[in-house]
Amino acid sequence: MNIELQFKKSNLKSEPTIEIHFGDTVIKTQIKSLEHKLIMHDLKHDTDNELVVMRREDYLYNTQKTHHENKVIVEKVIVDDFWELGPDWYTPESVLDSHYLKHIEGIDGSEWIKNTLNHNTHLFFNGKLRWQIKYPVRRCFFKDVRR
Amino acid sequence: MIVYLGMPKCASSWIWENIKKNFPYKGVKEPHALVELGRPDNSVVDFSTNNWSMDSSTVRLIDKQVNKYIYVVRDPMEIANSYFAQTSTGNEKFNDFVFSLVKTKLLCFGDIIERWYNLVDKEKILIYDYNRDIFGKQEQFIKDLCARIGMNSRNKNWFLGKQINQTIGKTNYRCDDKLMTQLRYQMDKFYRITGILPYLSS
Repeated sequence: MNIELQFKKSNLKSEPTIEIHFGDTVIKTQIKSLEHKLIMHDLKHDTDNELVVMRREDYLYNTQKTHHENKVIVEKVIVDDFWELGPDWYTPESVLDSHYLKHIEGIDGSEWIKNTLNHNTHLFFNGKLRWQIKYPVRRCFFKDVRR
Repeated sequence: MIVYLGMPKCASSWIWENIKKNFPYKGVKEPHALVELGRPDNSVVDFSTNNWSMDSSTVRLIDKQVNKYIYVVRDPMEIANSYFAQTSTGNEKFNDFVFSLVKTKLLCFGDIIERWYNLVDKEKILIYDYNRDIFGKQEQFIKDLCARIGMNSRNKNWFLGKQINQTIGKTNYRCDDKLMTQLRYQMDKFYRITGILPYLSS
């Protein structure tokens, strides 16, 4: 199975590195241009799985900033060359790293962060965007009868 | 093996009742094994109306045993209204309902046929339009279908003229312009890819 990820970033001031996990497959990619596409080919998919897009840039902890100014945005995920996940459909769960959570606790004006995580597709924090990709994929969207 | 790809609300039960005795298969019409377990329930026939959505790995697993796929489309708003009447909880707005059907690809016939043409030999896919090819032309349709899937006869003890199941309390709602544009795009894509002339209802 293929999974295509389409990214954007806010500006050209930095080239964030992100890590993508699906099953046993891990790919690192650096977002160099404003739009970036990555296709994971021939993934083994015979059980329910998670697709994880992860960002970990420790420089943030040496600043008083609550978030990365250069956001990495997952515009679209295309699963099995067919199913399209985007900001208005089957959005991921945002999981903040524990170190990141500790970091923002000490900074005033960080309350907005936890309030903006519902249906969020922007990696402005250190942590993960996580989608449940079931097997077969349609089970993500339709109630199954036999299981 | 014969596989009905979809769609739902396109007379699949009526078709099944007309031809099922041709198959050495005693199971249910819709085993849902391909779409929910990723493997076939039997090697003869699968008339699950959601087969259009099986994983590509499942398609590759079964394709060598499949003689023909049957794919029936219908005006997407008719399908949406029929589904809405059957499944809506009462609190849901029709527009939100159609939005879900578009996002889950159920009304995206262009995307579906594009995917299937990429996965299997397109000559194996028999395409029909419910309004053009089935409704009001049942006998002609069944004869054509039987000939194309290599069956000699329809089920003799089933009344061919029996009315196709109709959804009770079907509505005639419309959705917003944005969704209508998406649905039109999908139908145009379907007609462009298949080369079938658009069906214009009277």
